[in-house]
Amino acid sequence: MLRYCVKCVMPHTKPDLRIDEQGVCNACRAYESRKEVDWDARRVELQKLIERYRKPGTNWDCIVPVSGGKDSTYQVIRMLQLGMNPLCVTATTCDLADIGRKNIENIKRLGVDYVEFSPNPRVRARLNRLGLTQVGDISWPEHVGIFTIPVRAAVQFNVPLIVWGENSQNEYGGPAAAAENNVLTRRWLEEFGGLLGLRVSDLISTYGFTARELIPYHYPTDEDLQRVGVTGMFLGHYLPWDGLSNALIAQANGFTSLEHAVEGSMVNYENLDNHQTGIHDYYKYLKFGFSRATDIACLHVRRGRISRLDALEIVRKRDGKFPWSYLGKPLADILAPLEMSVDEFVRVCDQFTNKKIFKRDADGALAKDAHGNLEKLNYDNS
Amino acid sequence: MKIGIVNYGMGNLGSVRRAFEDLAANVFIANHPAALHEAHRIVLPGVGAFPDAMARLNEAGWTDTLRKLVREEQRPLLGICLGMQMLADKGTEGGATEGLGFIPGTIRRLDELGCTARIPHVGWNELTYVADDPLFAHIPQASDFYFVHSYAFDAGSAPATTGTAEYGVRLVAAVHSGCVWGTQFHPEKSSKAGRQLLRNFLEVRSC
Repeated sequence: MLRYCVKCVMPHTKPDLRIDEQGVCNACRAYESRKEVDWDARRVELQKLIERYRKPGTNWDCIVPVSGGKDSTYQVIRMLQLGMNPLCVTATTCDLADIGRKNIENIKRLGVDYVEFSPNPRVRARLNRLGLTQVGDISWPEHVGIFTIPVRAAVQFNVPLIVWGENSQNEYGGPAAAAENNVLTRRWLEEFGGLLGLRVSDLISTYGFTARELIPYHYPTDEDLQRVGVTGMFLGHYLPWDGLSNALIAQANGFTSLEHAVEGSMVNYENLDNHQTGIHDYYKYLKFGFSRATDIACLHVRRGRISRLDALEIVRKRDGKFPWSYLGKPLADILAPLEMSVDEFVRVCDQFTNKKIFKRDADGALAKDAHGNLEKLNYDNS
Repeated sequence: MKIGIVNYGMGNLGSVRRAFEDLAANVFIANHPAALHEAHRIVLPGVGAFPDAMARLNEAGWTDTLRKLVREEQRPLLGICLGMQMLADKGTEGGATEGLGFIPGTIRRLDELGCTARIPHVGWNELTYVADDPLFAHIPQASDFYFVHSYAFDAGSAPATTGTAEYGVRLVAAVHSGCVWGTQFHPEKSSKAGRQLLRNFLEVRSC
């Protein structure tokens, strides 16, 4: 049985989540304590930090890693407002959608220099297959590359400051953890970067990859990082972070949202850049019993925009549906580069499904409806 | 009572510290071995490869300090994940590497241990434990804990086993010898049961 936070709708199976004696999760507690943050003081801190890195036109002032999404568009806008001259760096997603490409072009037109790094697609397809079958993350190479590639660019172009967006741990951390919430290091990547226990070194020793195929996925050496003085900071530490307001600001600057809600969620302004995201989010549902609709609903519940009851209904309607398509691309086409059929995909899904949280039939097999959707044993605490 | 978390440059420091802070424990990050002398209880976290981690422990002088504090002064130590594996005599990843030697045993890759399931072992899994270990007080049998690992204790050489999990083989999930405990899973990521386990570690009697 899943136990849910009584304030939002997050289940206890989310790793690192803690639900206290009152039944409230640490993310809700942390959000309450955000009111104590002195955002004016943080803004002054940001100004000071940025002044230290501003250069008189000899090199770029900072690197901004950009996917082309609403958050990275917002980061670029903020840096330009602060008078910075960023070099924007994209690590191309595993299966870039047209709307994602359109939004990348929009970022360039904000008035920035820009480089895009695309790892070898043949190697990547093998990594996608390995990630899906071994750790249940089809976009594993992307989840490594979005961290390693901008840091490699910082070393390559000799630009020490990297401006990341939100610290994904921020929503879950209290004020006590805030001191270290402003920087991204190799260790942060190892701990929170979503490598799921599959290490780049394992790919060579165990899975038959060669070192020369994996260059983009290696974090630079400590010596290189020290020589350039690479510092990664999270903008979300200095400015209050909210996906919806970032989307509004991005849209006002040419960002394109989808005309309907994205499959598996109820918003149209995020996760628009990779056709594999539907599969990625579905696996989260299979492993933990919650997916993207739950994440987004919780963010909006905490910010007082929807009630918990509304959130429960949205989750029931939208969360964890079998990913027959994503951003309009059919599942079979998304799987084709992995040389995987839909039938094989379903078998891999079943292996990763946490059997304790979904209904099963009389024979003990997972119960699915006509569309292949699972049903959770419980959608709320009672 | 102070809890010192060993910061040897690798590992899940942030979430371990946060979990202890949640229990209102007086926890600090020890950035060099000398700082560890203030700790009444020691936590050795870990994420990464056995030889790299041991090299860092050895080069910075952690190994000698840990051996002194644990063996001579009997300070309770909890190793988590790779931190548990380093309690062993040796690891086999990338060639044989000497461990801290607190718990008899050898660390091997899961498939060498007969595991038939996919590697790494990632996710929630049920723990079966020896009832009288104080680390498991007030935790129901078969509670779920969160695992992320490709290597584990060789059970044949680990008489100190106090907990096991089934994953294509029966694997060693927890060990205890004297004042040293180790968990292959991550209590700091393991919801209510994990929280209780960390609370138990705060309450184990000095040995």
